[in-house]
Amino acid sequence: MLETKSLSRSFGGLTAVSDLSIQVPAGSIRAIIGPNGAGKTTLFNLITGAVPLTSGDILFEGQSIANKPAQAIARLGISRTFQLTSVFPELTARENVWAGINRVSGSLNPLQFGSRVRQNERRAEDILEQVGIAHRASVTAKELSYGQQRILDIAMALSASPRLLLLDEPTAGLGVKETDTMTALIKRLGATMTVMLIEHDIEVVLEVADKITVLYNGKLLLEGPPAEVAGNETVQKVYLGHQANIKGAMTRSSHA
Amino acid sequence: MRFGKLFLFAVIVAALVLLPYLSGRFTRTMVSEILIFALFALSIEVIYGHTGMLSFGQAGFFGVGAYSVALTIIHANAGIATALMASVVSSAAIAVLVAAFAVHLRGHYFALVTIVMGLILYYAATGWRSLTNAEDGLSFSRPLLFDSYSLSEPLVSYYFVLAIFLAVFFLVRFLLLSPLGRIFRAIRENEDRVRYLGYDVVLLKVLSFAISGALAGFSGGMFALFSAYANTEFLHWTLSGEPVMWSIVGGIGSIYGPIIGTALLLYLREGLSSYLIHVYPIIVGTIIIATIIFFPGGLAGAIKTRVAHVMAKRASGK
Repeated sequence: MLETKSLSRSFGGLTAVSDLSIQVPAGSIRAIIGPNGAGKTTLFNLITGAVPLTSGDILFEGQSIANKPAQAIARLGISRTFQLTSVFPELTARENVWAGINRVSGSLNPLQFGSRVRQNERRAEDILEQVGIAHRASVTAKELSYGQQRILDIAMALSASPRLLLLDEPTAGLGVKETDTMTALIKRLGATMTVMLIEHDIEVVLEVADKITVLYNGKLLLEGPPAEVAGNETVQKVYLGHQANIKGAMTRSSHA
Repeated sequence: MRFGKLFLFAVIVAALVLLPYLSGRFTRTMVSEILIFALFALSIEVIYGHTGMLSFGQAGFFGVGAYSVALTIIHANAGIATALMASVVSSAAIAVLVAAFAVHLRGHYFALVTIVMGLILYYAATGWRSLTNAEDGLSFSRPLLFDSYSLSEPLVSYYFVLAIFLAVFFLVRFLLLSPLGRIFRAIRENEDRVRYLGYDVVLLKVLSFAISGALAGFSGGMFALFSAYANTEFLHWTLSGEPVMWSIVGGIGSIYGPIIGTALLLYLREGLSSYLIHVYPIIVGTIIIATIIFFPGGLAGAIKTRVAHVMAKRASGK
């Protein structure tokens, strides 16, 4: 589904992503973890066309998407969410999701019939239903709770009918209950599309990911199934520090 | 609520239709000017209120539209429809040209480019005296409407302006409520996100500026037709600030706001000018500062909040 080949990106003297080659097969959930500054968000920015590559290549379904404009990449079927919630604050939740659906249905024609607009709005409501905030459809995004805004952010990404969904720290700032809801949602989404997620909550990662990619200083440190990564001492050292116990997290997660 | 709004609208339109029979020449002329300048203010609603790009160069389009009407009538013997069409096409073309590079800039930088655009158009017009006759301007005799009605007739002129205003108002309203208008609002809110949803934001911003420019040009064309005259003061940069001020006072982000603001400030200017011409800028300045501090959503915003408050009170009382 997605493949990066010797991908690199430098900002001045700083190399944010360095010679990174990963493969994400279709239908999997891939977690990207690593300490701050490891290059996780830069990787997402490179995939989605937010920043240009310094060198290397990115293939999506066998086709190079390197240095294509962001909107062209979105049109190929790659959607993303953002570390900081990115919605349209003054628009209703319904309108927020409608925007993506309207793009996919290919019409900005001001003469399109009202029924077409309503049809797309109903599809927006279906997506809101799917993520569990349909009851807030008529509320402006700025009036939603923080957790609901994070979920709306995902609903907006879904509205563009992606085959690959990139989630940037979907549980950041959420409470325990909201995190559980989000975790269940990510699992459900993973059943219908390929998902890559950057996540600091290791319990969430261990619960949802098929495979984990660990980045450190922009380089690939380790890649493998959750159990293997959790047991790796180097990962524990660079990512979690000495006091943290990734195995403990794994145990808690499996009991949950 | 929808019925109430419709009723209010019907009353206002009825009052405007009956106005020539209820008032004299002064009011009729003032209302005609207000209706034309309200279209000018709506051009700010499209580009700033909806798309979030502040333009301080709208007088450039206004003047280009006015000269398009004057020149096509004088040199090509154009009819009213052709002359107005020329004002729309010429101003939209300039808007597309400027927007092609200006829309890559955001916020203040975009506003600065529009100021420069306005200045260039103004100095080009004053410098090209053989075409524009600079501040002395061009007078022309107006073609007949539908080959039989003269715009020199006060009633013909008034109803012509009113009919055009209503037609363009509904067209702009339709456009801003359409999917395109909704995406313009999304761009205002968060243009990066619109891009990541797969839209070509640059193209949409160029389109918004072109529509706004065309609207400003059209209002300039209408003003030239109304006064049978165009001069380079129509392009002056101080005129560019006016629709922005009217819109701020009336309320940005609402299609009614710019119209309310235009009506209020032009009425004030006309009403005061004979007695207090020198204090007019002070009064307008005070109103603008007070609006920004006390009613950030302008008059339309304040009315909307008030109505919502009353409705909520009524709903909770039930």
